[in-house]
Amino acid sequence: MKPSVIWKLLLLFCITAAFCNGCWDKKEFNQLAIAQTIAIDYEDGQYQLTIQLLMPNAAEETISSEQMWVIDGQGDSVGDALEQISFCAPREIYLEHLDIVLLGQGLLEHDMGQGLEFLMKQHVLRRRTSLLAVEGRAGDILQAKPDLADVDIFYLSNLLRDQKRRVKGSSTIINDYYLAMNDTVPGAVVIPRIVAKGEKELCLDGGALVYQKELAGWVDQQWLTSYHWITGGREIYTLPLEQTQQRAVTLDIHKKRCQWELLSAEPLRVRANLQGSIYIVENDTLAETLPLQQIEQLNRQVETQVKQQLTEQIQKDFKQVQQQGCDVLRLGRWLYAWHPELVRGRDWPQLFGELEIEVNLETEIELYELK
Amino acid sequence: MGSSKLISTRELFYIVLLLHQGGVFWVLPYLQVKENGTASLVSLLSGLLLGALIIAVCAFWGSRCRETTFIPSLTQLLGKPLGKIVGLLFVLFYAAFAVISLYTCIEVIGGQLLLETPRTLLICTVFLLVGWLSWNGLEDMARLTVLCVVLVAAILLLALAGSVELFSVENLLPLELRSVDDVRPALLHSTFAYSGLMILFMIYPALNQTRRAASGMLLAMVVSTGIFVVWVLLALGVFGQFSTGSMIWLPLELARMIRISSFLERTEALFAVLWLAIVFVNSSLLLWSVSESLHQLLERQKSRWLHWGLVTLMALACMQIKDILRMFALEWQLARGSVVLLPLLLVLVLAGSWLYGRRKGGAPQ
Repeated sequence: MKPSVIWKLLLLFCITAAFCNGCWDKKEFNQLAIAQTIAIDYEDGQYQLTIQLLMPNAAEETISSEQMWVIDGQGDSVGDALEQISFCAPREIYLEHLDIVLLGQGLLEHDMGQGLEFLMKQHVLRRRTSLLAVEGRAGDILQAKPDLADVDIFYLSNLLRDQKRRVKGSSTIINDYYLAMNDTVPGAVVIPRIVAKGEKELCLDGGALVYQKELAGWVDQQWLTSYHWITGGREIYTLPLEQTQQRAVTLDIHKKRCQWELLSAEPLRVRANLQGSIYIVENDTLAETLPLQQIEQLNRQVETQVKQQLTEQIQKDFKQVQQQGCDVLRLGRWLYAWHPELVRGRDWPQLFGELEIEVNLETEIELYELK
Repeated sequence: MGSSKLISTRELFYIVLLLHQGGVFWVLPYLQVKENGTASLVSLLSGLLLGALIIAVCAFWGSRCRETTFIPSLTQLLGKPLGKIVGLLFVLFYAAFAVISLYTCIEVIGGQLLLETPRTLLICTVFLLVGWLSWNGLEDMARLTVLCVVLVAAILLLALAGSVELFSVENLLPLELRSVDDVRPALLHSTFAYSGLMILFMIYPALNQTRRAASGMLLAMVVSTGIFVVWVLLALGVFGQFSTGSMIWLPLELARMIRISSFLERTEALFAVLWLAIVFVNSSLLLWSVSESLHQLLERQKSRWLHWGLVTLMALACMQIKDILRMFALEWQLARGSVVLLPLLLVLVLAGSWLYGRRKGGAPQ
């Protein structure tokens, strides 16, 4: 054979090899079990993984409940548990589409970081993946059969999306966790809690307070309302009113992100400047009976009460956080960024518990008279 | 291989800009920010200084020896034995830098995108494509760089738009050097990354006009450093100082964070395609420099056997690097070596050019 022919054949071989590269990593859509949600539990020294799988059929355009599978496995480590699952999986499990991680109470009390470490290192989870906490066993949430959604694989993600639409910064992603845990000044993170109501319904209610990779406590929905003054966003809130003929009003509060201000270094005093526009969206019957010129006066009256009550509530919740020693407000991070000399070399958890936080709430009631 | 005289100063600007995208510059943030966070960006100054020095020496040499290409000119400047030795050192440096840079690309493709594809096949494919592109000559690559700069802007904008929601200025602060000892390695890594500009000696003779070439190159270096700084600041603002120091492939991690409303997410495939186009051109330029300098050193015309033999040799060298940690070890050794070698080479070229200019009458041509 002539050298030129050998050269051309070699070139042809190389070109073929070059264009076949992708084939080694090919994934057939209808041969995959796509994981949408994973639940991680820790019980009796064993990690338990439960994965909700979607097994698409190339012939069907819509997704039916027959295509859903829930599969679980357990082992001494997350890697072990995942391997157990792969032994009995009906198809190749495709984890790159994981959108939500459910963390069981056992894992939260043990070490949340260990639960995530393997999956992060395997590039299974993205830092954008949402976290949800479960009081009890996380796997049970995936076993629930919600009737409210035709395609229950999207139930959780729809709940999260709706929540996010209403309250900015209400969801917690893995990146938030690593930012809080790996910082020079230890911070805490709030993970929304998902609750199963019977076997038919799931709902978001309160959250888990995680500090130094472990569960510090559970917080209720009212606490979260105060917390969301820190992150900003929009929220519907019903407030009982005193000293007016009206018993309660429903407020649509548009919160701005909290602005911290250092008042004094010794003793350490800071002020949380909170701003929000308030729209009364329900029960404004009082206004209907008043002439227009008196509405402004009523606005001011309601505003004063709203401000007073919200300030008290926020102060109370901030105090609770300080007592728990969990800097969920990311105040330490703020101080370390702008006034590092106040934090460096000091015991931040203790300092956080002792510092004085003043709350300055500025609200304005808008468009009271409009429907 | 013979350089044509058809590279414009505009194309040279894009070449310099592109040399700092992909490749070694992808791992540079990881090597820099771990201990000192945002403040470690100060270590870029050593790289900038070296870059400016390379550009200045290159322009000075170009003004004295325009009638010949770089490696043959070394024998004229320094005499035959020393000129050949210095020429060989240049070839070896180009080869080592190209291997490091190409292995970085292969590691991204093999470790992050095509996990099941055998590494040997990836190396063969990458070297085949890069070898073919460099075989076609500098002009083709120079034309491609213009297109690639658009891609650089596209991926940067994509990352900016997708991550801005998570960006926090507080994550960048405070600006302080916590560990001064760790600045020294960062300075070395930074210097090594900028030493890729040494290939400008090979490209410069191909310029169709040298007027304002030096200022163009300097501007390109500053712009590319600016783009790099934006990447690092974006990553620090999103991931925080600690996490950024533990991520090797920073731009890819940022691509994983992109979520624009609910319609654009999981963009790393798009990101990777755009990035691959950039690194192929980038790597081709490096490989072309190695091949071209070797041809000049051996005083050979464009030889298929020499070019593809070199490509094969470099592919084999890449196969010897087993993982990213070994690559870092190799990069560290080269970075340490180049701190001594590069200033020495530059001084020799500078002194030789000055003496050569004086011998010719002192006036720049």
